[in-house]
Amino acid sequence: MPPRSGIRAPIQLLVEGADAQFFFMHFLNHMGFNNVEVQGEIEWRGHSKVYKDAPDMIKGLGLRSKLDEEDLAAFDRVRNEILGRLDPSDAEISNFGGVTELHSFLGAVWNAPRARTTIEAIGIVRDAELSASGTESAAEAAFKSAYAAISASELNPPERPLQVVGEKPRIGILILPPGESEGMLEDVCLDAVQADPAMPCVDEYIECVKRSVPNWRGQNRKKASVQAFLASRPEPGLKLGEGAKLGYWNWSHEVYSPIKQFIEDLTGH
Amino acid sequence: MFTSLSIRNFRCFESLSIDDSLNRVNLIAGLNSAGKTALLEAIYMLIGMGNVELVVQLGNYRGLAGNYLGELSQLTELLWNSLFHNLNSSDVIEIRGIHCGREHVAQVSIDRVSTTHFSVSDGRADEGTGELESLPIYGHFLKLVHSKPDGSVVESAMVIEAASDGALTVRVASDPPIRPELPFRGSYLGGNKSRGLQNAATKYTRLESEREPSELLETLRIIEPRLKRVRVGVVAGTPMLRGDIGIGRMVPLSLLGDGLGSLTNTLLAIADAPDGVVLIDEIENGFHHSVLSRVWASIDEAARRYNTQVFATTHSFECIEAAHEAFREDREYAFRLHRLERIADETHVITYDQETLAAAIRTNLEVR
Repeated sequence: MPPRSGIRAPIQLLVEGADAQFFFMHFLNHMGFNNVEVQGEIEWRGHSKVYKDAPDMIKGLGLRSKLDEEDLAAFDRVRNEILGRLDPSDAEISNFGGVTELHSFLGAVWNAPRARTTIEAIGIVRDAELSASGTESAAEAAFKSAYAAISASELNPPERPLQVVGEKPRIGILILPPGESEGMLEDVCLDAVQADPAMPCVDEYIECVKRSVPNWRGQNRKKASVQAFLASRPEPGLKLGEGAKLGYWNWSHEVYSPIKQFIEDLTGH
Repeated sequence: MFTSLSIRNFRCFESLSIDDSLNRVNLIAGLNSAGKTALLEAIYMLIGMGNVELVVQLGNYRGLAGNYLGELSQLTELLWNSLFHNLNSSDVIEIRGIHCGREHVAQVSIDRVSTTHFSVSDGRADEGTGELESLPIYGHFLKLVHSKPDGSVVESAMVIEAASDGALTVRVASDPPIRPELPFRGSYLGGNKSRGLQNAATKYTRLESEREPSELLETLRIIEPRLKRVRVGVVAGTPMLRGDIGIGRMVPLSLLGDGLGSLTNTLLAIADAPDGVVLIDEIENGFHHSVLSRVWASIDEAARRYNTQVFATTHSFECIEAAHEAFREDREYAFRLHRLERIADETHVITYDQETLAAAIRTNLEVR
């Protein structure tokens, strides 16, 4: 794939993993941001604005209209050109990869052409998944690593999670779940659907697996619960981010309030 | 090796700073008119202080060469004022560089006094030393001042005079009236690097007298695997590099393609500037993308061997990616990518270290 264009959106959200990318894209859509792009490696699911428009654009460029692997490869080749024709986005959501890659990825974003004139806000979203030592919680460790990555990029980090500091760029760190000492995006989603009639079945299923399957890896319980919950929906077999597109994660639940507030503070809207 | 540079009032730069982020090999990227070539020119002025002919050379590289006739003021506008930011020659150009922890300062100005105390030569300001004929000069002139780290100052000047037939002649002067020793050895390779293989023949002869240049032959085989040997020959009175590719006759290297000429010129320039600086505009020109990584590896090796610092410009992402690939094989990673970018009417230098460049390449983020 040719190198992509430089930074195009004033709001940059750096998240951990493709599921988080799509989750936050639809979360921002729910909040009223209509022009949100997912950047980086994208699988074809019709999520991104760019890919959603791909068939018409490919047709317009004189290529075949039926979308198959060849078409997508052709689309990749002309993607830069297409990107150049689109209006700038409100926000771009990028996957920074693993925890150890956050610093270098943030540096690459902040160094990208036009980044320093385009970017108004950078939000970093991390799971409170791993604790480096016994003396600090997973949330504290996650915040510290994001803080260090921001400092190393010669930007001013906030002093605590959910706080947004600075001007052009405003910078904030969101550790998931907000206010908890450990957890991940899956916890937020499951909390939001706790009252759903399917959830007792999900819990029962997980307990059954735990009892019945030898050496079952309990640390994947939350991810398994998400999969079990999604299996109960009208269109099963989706990933967490894809479920977000179909509104399966109960956007109106108050568990999202601190996240909404964070996005509002970050975007200035 | 230069670690920092600052430039003021030169070409498109009102001011520009690169602080402590230069490395042995530096690749400069940026949009058209961002100042990539101007940055090379500024470094060339700094390393060649005392050689006022550089000003004419830079004019030539910019396509300002010619047999000058007519109004003196037009030539000074062309050669001199174009060096100054916004053509404003009332201010001084200042180029500072920290080299091995010691500061060198080059200042360029147009002096408008009517008479000077300079001594004037009738010839060119070639490399080397020698006494200059002492003559007073009249009219305004371009003055170059090199302040060395030891506190000494060397001044040199360029005068343009009109002959009776209307031809305009460039004359040089210096104070003290000795051709100053240039602060650093160096070369500037313009956009078409395969040009001037005559110079390459001279450099090759010099290299050959010091060591067996077999490494060069090995490296040139990246581009031309048939190459068996390289020799300097004189053809029609012109010394040139010729290669044996197994066809029974030696062939001028310049006939074996731009890639071979570019690589030859680049490597010989590095070998010919020990402890110095080589400047290369549009380094990717002439090279197929599949050999770029090996070309960079050979530049890395040559630059280390001769302790030569390299500054090159590019528009090519493939070239940047190939450089990163080549240098990450080297534990030292003696490479930096710098992009010139205009932010709020000022040119800024944005530098990528190894990790940041790796992340940008991995995630397809633009860097140019």
